[in-house]
Amino acid sequence: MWLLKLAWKNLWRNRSRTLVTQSAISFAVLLSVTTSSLQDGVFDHFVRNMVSYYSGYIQVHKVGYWEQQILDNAAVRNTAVESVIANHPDVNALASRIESYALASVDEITKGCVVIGVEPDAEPQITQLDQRVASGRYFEHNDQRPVALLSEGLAKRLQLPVGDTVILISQGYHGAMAAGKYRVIGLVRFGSPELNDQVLYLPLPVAQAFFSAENLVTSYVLSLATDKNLERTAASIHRSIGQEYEVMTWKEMMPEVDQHIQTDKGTMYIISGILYLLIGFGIFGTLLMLMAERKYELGMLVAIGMKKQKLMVVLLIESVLNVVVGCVAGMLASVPVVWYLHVHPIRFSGELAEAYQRFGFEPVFPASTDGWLFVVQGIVVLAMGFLLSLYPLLKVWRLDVVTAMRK
Amino acid sequence: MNMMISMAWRNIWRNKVRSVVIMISIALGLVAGLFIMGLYEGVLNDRLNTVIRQEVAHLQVHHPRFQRDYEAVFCLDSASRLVERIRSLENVQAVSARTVAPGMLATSTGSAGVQILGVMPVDEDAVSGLKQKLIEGEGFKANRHNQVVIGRKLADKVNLRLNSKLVLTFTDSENNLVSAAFRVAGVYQSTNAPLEERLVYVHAADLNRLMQMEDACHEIAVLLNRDEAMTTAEQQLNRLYPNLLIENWQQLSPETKLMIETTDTYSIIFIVIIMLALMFGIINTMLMAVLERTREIGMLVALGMNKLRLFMLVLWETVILTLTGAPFGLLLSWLLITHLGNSGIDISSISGAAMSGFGFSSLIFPRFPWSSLPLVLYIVCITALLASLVPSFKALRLIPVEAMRQ
Amino acid sequence: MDTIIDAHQVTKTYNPKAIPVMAVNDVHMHIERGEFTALVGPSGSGKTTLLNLIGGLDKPDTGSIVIHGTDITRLSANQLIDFRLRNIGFVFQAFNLIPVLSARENVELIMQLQRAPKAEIRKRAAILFDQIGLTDKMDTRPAQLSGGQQQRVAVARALASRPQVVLADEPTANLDSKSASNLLDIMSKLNREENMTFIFSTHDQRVIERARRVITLVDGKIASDTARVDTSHRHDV
Ligand SMILES: Nc1ncnc2c1ncn2[C@@H]1O[C@H](COP(=O)(O)OP(=O)(O)OP(=O)(O)O)[C@@H](O)[C@H]1O
Ligand SMILES: [Mg+2]
Repeated sequence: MWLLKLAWKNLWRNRSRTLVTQSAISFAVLLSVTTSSLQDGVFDHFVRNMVSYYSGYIQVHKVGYWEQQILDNAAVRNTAVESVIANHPDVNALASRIESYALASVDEITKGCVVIGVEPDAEPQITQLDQRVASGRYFEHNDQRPVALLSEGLAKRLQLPVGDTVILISQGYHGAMAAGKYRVIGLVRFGSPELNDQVLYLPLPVAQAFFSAENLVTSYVLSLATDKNLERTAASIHRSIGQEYEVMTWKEMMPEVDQHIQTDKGTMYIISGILYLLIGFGIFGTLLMLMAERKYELGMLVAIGMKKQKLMVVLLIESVLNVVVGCVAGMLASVPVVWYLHVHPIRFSGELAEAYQRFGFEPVFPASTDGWLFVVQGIVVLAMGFLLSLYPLLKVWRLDVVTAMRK
Repeated sequence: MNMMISMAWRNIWRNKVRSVVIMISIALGLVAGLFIMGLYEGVLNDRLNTVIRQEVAHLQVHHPRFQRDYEAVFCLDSASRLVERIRSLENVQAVSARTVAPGMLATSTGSAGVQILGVMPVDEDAVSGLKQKLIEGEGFKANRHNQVVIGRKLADKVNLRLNSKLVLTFTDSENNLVSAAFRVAGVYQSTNAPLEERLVYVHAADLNRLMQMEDACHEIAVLLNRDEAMTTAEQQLNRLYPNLLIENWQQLSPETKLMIETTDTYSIIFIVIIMLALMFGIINTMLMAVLERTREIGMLVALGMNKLRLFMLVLWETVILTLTGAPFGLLLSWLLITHLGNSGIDISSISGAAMSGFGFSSLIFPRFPWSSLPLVLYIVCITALLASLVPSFKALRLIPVEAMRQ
Repeated sequence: MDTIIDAHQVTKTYNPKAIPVMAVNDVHMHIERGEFTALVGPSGSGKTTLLNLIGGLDKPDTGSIVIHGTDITRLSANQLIDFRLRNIGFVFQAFNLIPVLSARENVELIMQLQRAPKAEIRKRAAILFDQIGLTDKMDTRPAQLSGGQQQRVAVARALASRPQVVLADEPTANLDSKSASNLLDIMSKLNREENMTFIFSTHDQRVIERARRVITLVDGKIASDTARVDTSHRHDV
């Protein structure tokens, strides 16, 4: 008990020293929390942007559709399955689509395009399609009219202004002949030329009628609250809807994006490693100076008969107090910082920002506010702090009274 | 002045371990900064190489209206002369003329929208490495008509094997629909899944004949032997062919440009964070050094050392530490980055993610970031100096009478 | 004669809010050039405080301290530093020297801070080391000097810039009697040869005997102020 008291007194007696040590630790926590929250936030933001473009976080198809994306592999709409999916706790929104190729022609011009039948009300919850309308209007609620939204690039290629009519020709379900006339009510803009040059949206029932595929959908598109439980959610949905369906995450659908993210995550781990190394050196430097400063005092304590073991216990208590207080303070201090970076994300400007906006992305690096981050980083620094606290103990163990007392 | 520096210098050697810790921190900060830059340069270089050498090449030449309309009539006439002329320009490594037709691919089981590229196989191999990308079949063979090379994703999607037959439908230069049967001579794999699903290659001679085009093409892809030569080559082409549309990879692949700039921007953010870590290390260690010398500093003030000098004393100490730490850091970064640049860093072993075989390499080859070296050096030195301000100010605020009572 | 120190009604209170301690209480003091004065009194009587006030290290609550015509209580902190550099020499009880500098560099430091010409610095340092009898130890670091030698170097340093007055707070407290008497010899020699004013606080009776004037403090007040017969000549011959 008196050891604890002594340790406590030591900490108080030299307040500036204690403060420096504790702030070293808390700054370490603050930095590593901020870093990892930025790293997480950047990926989350990127993924959210990517999937809200087109694919959604998860898609559900009839087994075999992904391998062979033809209408004959479409699924019959099943309200039971839909409600199972929609009621899954992690699922934010659900939209059905029917999708195939067609030739679009206007007068003399004919172009190949991708026809996507979407639910006018559900689709925007996943892809913000309504916000991508650059001219004209979006579909109406429960739209059943023969109207189409064209991507800007495609409209340009067809030399087709809003209000004109486009003729679509394709092969429908089971080889049926598909043909129809649709009035263009709006143009949508995508940053990626892939989409911008070839997609054409119809309301779902209209598209189904066009393809002679009443009540068929090629895919259910899901949006999730977070990317964190992606695989788990996909697996649990798969379990509950059965083997006739395939449940694919965006990672399976866009492996190249996943690869890029994995590579970037790898580099982030390296960066975190470097950060820890520097933080470790910072803490070590502080402890080192601490011991240099206290050499005389410790030597004197040993000289007047304090056992080294006891002294080590005292120092250990001091270190534990310092490290714990520092970590907790650091975690508390990082809350407002991370919160600030979350609410006012780092916003970049210039060419890059313009490019982002062209893609419909917000030009920001937001911070993630995942509570785990704080705990994990706090623990990492705590462990590092304890490990480094062994240095003062070692120093006491090897303390030589005579040299220590010589000033 | 001399006295200050020599005192600072001796102060450094008072506690060698401390000074070494600060020097290592500074060296490490420099290594960290350069390494992050090098890492990203490696990653970007890799992606850039993929984009340039496997997809879009450095520059592309089109009829100004072609990309908007994809109409067969917007073609480049006297293509062979044009190609020869471009090939003879400085820094040009390879040139490939392509006839481009958007169309439909149909088999007995399904159909897909595709972009048909009519190419001279040898030229295309040289520009986008088509031959190296083949995973099945041997590609175009001489003296055979109507061969097609398709992507693996497309092959899977519409159930095509090597030697399967398929029908391509597209519009010719007179805007008539043309259909022709082709046989799969090869299946390629690339790192770009959407392209792999959409691009199919046929021999230019076949496509031109079917489209009723003589010596013409729609697209000329130009690969240079140096990335740096791009602007000059672009200007030269613009001067030679003011009526044609000349675009560089940044315009052709805005996503890549986006990605590169994103990476550049956030690598700076992380460098700033790393520098904060470095700064805090220096501040704390130097602060402790000042606290350790409280009495002595108090005495110096009592003897009449003024604030500026005292400030300079602590500042000089940090400057010297920085100047000794920095070269170490430079050397270390150079060794580290060149070594890893040769052996590569296996990202999959770090991130724990299995890198599946999509033609991606999980190895990163960092490159020494010569171009950002001054920036990083500057940032590290500024950081060290800023960091030394705190302990210097702390030294100033010591009150001599109290300092000496300790 | 030439007045060096004129302190008037000087008061210094510590802890004015909690338990006030009148460390220096209404002190008047007048010291002429060339005096060799001991400040004595029981522990806690205010000797260190008074010396700090005279040296400009601390500010009095009331009163004025005029040193060679300058009222130092009116100087700003920065002006005080400069004033100390030019007019006051200090010798402290212990740990007087900068550990990273050699004995000579410690002595030269003050002159360098005053930006004296290099040649002059050299000459003065050589003379001083000759006077304190440590010419052979000039390039030694303080850690390698004995306590007495360190204090002699400290005296040399205090004199280096030819200040108006040298203040020494218990300079002999850590020394054995032989070293103490040796230090006193040097101090009184320099006092005479350079006509340097010395004020030193002490507890040591033998040191007090060497002073020519003894001021006794009790509870921060001057209890007695006596001039003594000049005894220093005893050692002269
Ligand atoms: N910083 C301070 N805060 C509060 N009280 C102080 C402070 N410095 C000195 N004192 C008090 O002022 C009084 C005079 O102290 P001072 O150090 O001047 O005595 P001294 O005569 O030098 O004693 P000694 O012979 O022991 O050195 C003492 O009662 C001391 O407790
Ligand atoms: Mg005293």
